[in-house]
Amino acid sequence: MKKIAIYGKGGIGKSTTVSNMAAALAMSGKKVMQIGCDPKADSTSLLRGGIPQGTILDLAREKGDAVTLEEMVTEGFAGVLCVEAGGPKPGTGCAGRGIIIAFDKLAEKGAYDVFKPDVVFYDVLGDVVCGGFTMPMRGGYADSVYVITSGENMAIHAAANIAMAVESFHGRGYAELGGIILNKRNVERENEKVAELADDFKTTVIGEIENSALIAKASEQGKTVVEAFPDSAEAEAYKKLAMKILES
Amino acid sequence: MKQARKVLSTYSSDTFGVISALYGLGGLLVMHDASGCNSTFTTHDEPRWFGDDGLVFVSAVTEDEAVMGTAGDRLAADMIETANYYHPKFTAIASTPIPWMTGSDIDLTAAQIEESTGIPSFGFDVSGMKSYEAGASAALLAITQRFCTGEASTRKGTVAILGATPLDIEEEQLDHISVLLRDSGKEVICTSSMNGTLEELAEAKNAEVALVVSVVGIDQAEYLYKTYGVPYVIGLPCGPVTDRAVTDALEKAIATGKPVAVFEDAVSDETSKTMIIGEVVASRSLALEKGGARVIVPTQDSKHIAALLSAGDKVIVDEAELENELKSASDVYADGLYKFIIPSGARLIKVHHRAYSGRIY
Repeated sequence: MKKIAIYGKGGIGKSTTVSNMAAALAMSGKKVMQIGCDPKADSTSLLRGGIPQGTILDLAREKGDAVTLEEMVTEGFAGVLCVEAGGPKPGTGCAGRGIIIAFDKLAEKGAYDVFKPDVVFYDVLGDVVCGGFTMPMRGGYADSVYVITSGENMAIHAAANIAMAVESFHGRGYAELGGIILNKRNVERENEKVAELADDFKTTVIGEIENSALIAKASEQGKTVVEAFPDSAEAEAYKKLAMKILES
Repeated sequence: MKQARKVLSTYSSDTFGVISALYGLGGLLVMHDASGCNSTFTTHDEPRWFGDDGLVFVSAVTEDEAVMGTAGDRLAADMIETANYYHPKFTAIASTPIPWMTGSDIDLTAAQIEESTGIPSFGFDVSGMKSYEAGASAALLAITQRFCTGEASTRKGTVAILGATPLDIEEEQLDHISVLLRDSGKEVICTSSMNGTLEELAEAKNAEVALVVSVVGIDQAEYLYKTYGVPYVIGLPCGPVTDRAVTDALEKAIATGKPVAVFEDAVSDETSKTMIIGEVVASRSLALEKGGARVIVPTQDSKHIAALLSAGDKVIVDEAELENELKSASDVYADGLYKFIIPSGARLIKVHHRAYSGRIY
């Protein structure tokens, strides 16, 4: 089982990228689980035709220990196992603690043993703002962390913060930094700036996704581009990226 | 109002359960907390504190450390320094609400200590919000898994007593069990973990049979059973009936090689006006001794509780529900602190439970 955590600035395209990679791998015969770690609970939306999914925290609050794996884990496009950790209402509670509770609940119910996925993607929100958001990179969870960024300064800044967090846990049994994913926004010196970021953290840019209207068009349909336009260059790019991450 | 308590107290916390289970085994024990845990535990829940040396500390985590996430590294440094001075046999950290809520990685801190000192180290990510059962179970299992390893060589006629902590068991009860076992021709080679040592715990795998005297020992008993085939008996001898039942059950477990609870065939009388409130193993054993009393378990933090109850017994943690249940009682066996909820006309027979009233009685 390969476990991969994807971090990056809010709105940078994490969920789109992860969902497309999950869809591509699922279509190639892999059993894939995608776990959204964001109170917005929209990570797996594109795998479910835009239909929202009940979150672990909501289900646990409603049903307590009676909540079942079948309720927490649903099947999306190509059989991708979709999970949303969930979180508190905006402006209330503690989102970081929520992630921990959700992960504990999944472990308690034996999710990994029951479904035995080949690949698990943790799609983690914006930044590593507190202890709870390091949960996916802790021992026993992800093996590798990949950071998505564009060439925009704010995205690079957030990516650097995330890479720094991963670096600070180096040698402590946490996930290691696997590389940077460039999700292009067509800004000046985009490739150079992201390459410099990768150099700073002694890692590489493992893949690039071009800025494409087709990806947005698929999203409008509530689908990944892999599902909506499977023969497109964009779908192929996601497939290549997913395979590269899987093999690295 | 559900869960509101007007007169009843709470049970000792999971944090204290961890420390109680490990106390006396020669470890450096730290409650990762701002302040207060240490004094509450030692003065109320730990009778050994007054007679034995014990390396029990509180980390004194500060608001600044909690907010900035630096408590773990500082705690590791403090414990490494202390461990290098005292040379404990192991170290253990039990979490509390603040580090638990802020997502502190207790396992990582324990790993840092072990890597630096070479001393086996444990992290228990308890919340301080569950009962002692959760912490004591986890600690007894972890320490057994770590130190009771290697090949086993079964010694005939030997018994390992499991699940014994002062939160549930009194010294006098332990003395009674020891005499009972000795008189029935058994040798106790391990008492985990009251009055026991790590070396004795390592011997538990060689026991012919184990006696589990409280629910917190069931996980460690299952480990010994699954790993080494040590069968176990669940029960607390507390009088002629249960003394006989326990000694018979020990022989039965040895003969069949399978676990057995002394009260598994006893059915509580749903109409009985005699009720017993307390830890499930002690209470069901007492019900067997008294003949048909109903058991009410006021905690819910062990996964084994439900399987140990019979029809007519209940888990009740809500005060109003308990008050209602007790209306039909004529005699109630319970800790003295329950006197505030016993209906007029009913008789309270006090059964001290340190996990509930500490050293008040």
